[in-house]
Amino acid sequence: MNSAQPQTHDVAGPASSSKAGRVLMSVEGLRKDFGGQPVLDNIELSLHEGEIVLLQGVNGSAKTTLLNILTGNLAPDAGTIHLSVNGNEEVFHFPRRSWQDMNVFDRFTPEHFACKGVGREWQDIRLFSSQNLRDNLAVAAPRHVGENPLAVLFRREAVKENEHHACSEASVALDKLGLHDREGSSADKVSLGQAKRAAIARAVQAGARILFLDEPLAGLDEAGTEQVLEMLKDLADRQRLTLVIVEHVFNVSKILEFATSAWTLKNGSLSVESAATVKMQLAGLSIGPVAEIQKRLPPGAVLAQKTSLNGADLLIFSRNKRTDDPPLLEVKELVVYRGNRLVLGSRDELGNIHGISFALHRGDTGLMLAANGHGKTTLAESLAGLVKIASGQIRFDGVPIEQMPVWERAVRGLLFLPARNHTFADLSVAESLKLAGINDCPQSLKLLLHRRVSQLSLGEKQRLAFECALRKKNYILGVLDEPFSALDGANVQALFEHIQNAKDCAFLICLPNQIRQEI
Amino acid sequence: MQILCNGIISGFTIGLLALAFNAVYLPTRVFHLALGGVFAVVPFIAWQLLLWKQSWPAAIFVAVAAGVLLSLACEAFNHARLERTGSSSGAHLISSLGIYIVMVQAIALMWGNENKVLRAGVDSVVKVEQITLTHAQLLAGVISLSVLLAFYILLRFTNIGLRLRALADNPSQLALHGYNTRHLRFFAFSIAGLLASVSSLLVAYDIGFDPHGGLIALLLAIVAVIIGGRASWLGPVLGGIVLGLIRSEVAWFLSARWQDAATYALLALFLFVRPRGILGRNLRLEAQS
Amino acid sequence: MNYLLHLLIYLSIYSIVAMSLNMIVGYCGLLSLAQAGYFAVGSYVYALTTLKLGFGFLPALTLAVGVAALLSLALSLPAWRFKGDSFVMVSLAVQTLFFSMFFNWSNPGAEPGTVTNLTNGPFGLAGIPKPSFFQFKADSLPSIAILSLVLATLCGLLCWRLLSSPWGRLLKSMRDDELALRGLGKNVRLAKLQVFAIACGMAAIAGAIYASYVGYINPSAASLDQSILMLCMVLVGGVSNLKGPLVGALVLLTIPELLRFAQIPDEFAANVRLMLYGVALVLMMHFRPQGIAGEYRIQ
Repeated sequence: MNSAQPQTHDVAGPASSSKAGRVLMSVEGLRKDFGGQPVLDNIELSLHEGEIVLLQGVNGSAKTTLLNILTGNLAPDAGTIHLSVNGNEEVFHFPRRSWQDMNVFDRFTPEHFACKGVGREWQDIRLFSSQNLRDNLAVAAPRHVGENPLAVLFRREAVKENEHHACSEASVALDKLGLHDREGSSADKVSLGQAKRAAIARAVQAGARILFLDEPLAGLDEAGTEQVLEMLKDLADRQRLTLVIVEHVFNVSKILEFATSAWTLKNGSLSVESAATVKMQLAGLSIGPVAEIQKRLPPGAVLAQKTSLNGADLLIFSRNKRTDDPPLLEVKELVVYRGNRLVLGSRDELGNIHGISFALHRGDTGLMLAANGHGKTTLAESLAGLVKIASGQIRFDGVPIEQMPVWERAVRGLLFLPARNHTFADLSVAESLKLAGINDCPQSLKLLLHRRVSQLSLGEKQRLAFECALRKKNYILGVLDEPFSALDGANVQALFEHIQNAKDCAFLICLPNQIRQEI
Repeated sequence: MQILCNGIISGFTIGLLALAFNAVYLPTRVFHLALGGVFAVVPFIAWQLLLWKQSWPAAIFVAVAAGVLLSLACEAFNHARLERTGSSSGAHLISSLGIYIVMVQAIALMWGNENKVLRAGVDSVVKVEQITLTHAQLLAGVISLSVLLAFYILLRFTNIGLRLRALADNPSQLALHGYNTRHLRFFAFSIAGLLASVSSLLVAYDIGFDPHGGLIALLLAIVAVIIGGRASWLGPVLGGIVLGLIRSEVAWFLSARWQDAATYALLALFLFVRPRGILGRNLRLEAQS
Repeated sequence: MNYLLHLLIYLSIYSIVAMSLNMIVGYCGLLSLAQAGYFAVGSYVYALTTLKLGFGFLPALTLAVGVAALLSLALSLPAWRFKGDSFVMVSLAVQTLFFSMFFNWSNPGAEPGTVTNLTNGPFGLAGIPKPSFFQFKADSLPSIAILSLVLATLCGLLCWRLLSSPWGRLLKSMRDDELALRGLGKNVRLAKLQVFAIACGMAAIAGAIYASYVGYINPSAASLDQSILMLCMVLVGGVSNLKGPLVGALVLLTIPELLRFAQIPDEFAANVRLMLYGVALVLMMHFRPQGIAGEYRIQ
């Protein structure tokens, strides 16, 4: 991981140049470190009015960090940000001097950026949960007289008028989204797609001219995706909003249909290309990692089952002949909520909820393929015991484990390797191995033995987490959440060797994206 | 030089209580305000046993054991249940405050509201070079230093210390490795009870005790935690020493009344300029939003 | 009859306090243990201005509110940066500082109320005159009762108007998700300044009524026990709407009266009362964190 790779700026094709207006925001020399590692290194970009930008990169490539920086939520370690949405240019230099952190009138804040027209959507929707949709939008109205308590007491007419105006604008906006009759329902009672669109409408009400959207299509079904895309296109065309959309590989093609340019984050560097170029690259891409993985599975593994779990695919490869031995892991009608949202399970037209069901036998390798937001992490965490389930049964080696605490499942042989936050930052590598019960140090980690984990690079941390998990003795089910995201080739190879050698175990691997195809 | 010594010794006792508080906060994120109740009740138990003509070692032992059990009971009957039902950290804090109130009022009902002492008469003094120390101070210095040292050895070199550090770092990952985090929490609360009891007895032996001194002492300890760095294991003791020194200097040059003002001025300074404390680390990004 | 009027006055006073703390706890989502400090500020300012400067009721009240609102910065500025448990600790520190100030700003040799002996320390200030407006003096029990009831109703109306206004909606949104609200361009810091100023000012009103009724004030009004009682009222009654504080004040003032009926000896009554408050807090957190009549659970 080294510093600046040469920036690739494509010559903008005719389609995009007609849309490009003046520069609203630009950034030079941007750098951000986490734990001593640069996650963003010497980033340079500029945002023109009317552009529709796709910001892409693999999970963990700091897309959200960049978004946080560009919306005033996070200060970078170095660089300059120019903001001139409404004509007057403001410049922010980093690193900031120490007194600036204590300055109460500091302008590098989310609210200042929002006042200047920079709006933002989060991955989790963040509507105001105790209020209904109309209030959610009405509160966004800028410069509302009624938000001054003195005015409330002494200028009742003006406040009433402002409020009437704000509420009617909110109603009109909700009406356009087809949510007229849901105005009065609280934010957590509407569907995901409706909630996302309401949140976008709220940012528009607040006067956003640039809208940063963090994975707006995550977790949506076909209908929901259509509606959100429709809304975004409308905002770009009719209201001349500038959009920067972070999306995951699974949904990138949908965004590229109307995007003008693409920013790609990889290893801390950003490359800027036109949408047309990226589309061509995508078309020429090989079918995707599923086939790659299939090649590396244990010999003799055949696809025994393919199930669809509301938006996700579960492919089970068996290498043993299916005798009558009982399944190692049996999941029946599992229903899990995250907050108020149903993540695992589906609702039919009558409102009944059906959970997911599947079974893994010894020697099976299950691949769960889903885009972000469709519950792969939730499933993995429910199996491990980190997340409470709403209903359903989980039997592990014949024993029901729904009520069992996390450590008891681990002792019984259920191994879970989370996607992130799987190391002990304050301990040394040697101590981490000791905790995991590993007495002989693996070759790959011998040089790092006495270093603190917080000082390791991302790849080294992933390797450590790996070794701590897979070298355990006595596990019979391995649940791995996005195990490949920060590994290099040699370690991916090592993982497959582990799987091959563990004949009596079963594995469930959750993978973030696939371009669906018939196997 | 004398002031320095006074300050350091009082700093050690503050640091001991501060470490007790953090021993629960770091692994469990619970604000163990009931520890103030433990701090208040332990000398009373020792006093009562001495009144019943028991020997000093017996009185101390029973009092400390009672402190450990009370702290443990807070986790067993209160915090563990709240944790299981997914309560917010505010609920933990308020319930801990409620337990503190119950404990203090129980003490007042049983023993009355007045100040008491654990030893009678004037204390003997010891002279080392130009420094005069009372017997109580010497005891406080030696015992607190030994207990602190023993704790850090446990933390750094034993298996259970490793697990405690891991619990403070990443509780879910520790559970995934198969360690019973419920039991570890019990251990953390017990250690806190032990450290608080020792601190309380040392202070009670030196200047006496009353039912209402618990929260005041704990507040001082929490200031020490914030100053020293609440994300670290060493921070509370360092904060305690700094606080002890400053209070001692202020008491000498101005007056005892200004000690509190100085304490809060220091707290305000740190919160404004360096909220993570002397030894603290920058919180992770997610925590800042 | 007199006894009932006495209870009515206390109910009015503590309803005002509960409503004020409800704004902080229920609408900012912050737990504060310093409200008794502001209550006492109101009492002391009222006492000093009427005793030393001969102010009438309304001017003294206005000054009390003003001073408390200014001192609310000690809580609202930290509220910009600290949430949750850290904020509680800051409020505890502010509380202790207030108490310390009332207890220590004294000099036995000097007259009470002068610069060197502003608060007369543990001896307190006595002989505080009953409320007087222009020519009318409210020195009978029924008249004070009416006065306190009127003030409580006015405070209630104020709360109701403010909290159901767009400003109240802003506060609710801030409580739900502060970062999202900032992302819409709203000045959350200003809102916090406003809430604390209003809440502390209201607590001062209650303190002023108390001082004028009892005629004597000492630092125990600013003690931690009082702050805990006030917090209890809000948590037991329920946060966030307007019924909650009233229910809470009612419940927590009834407890000592019930104790009287149970004939617990006077020397124990205070301790048993406080113990019951402690038990109430613990039970509430386990079984009904949103309080008896509230709509929102504490975070």
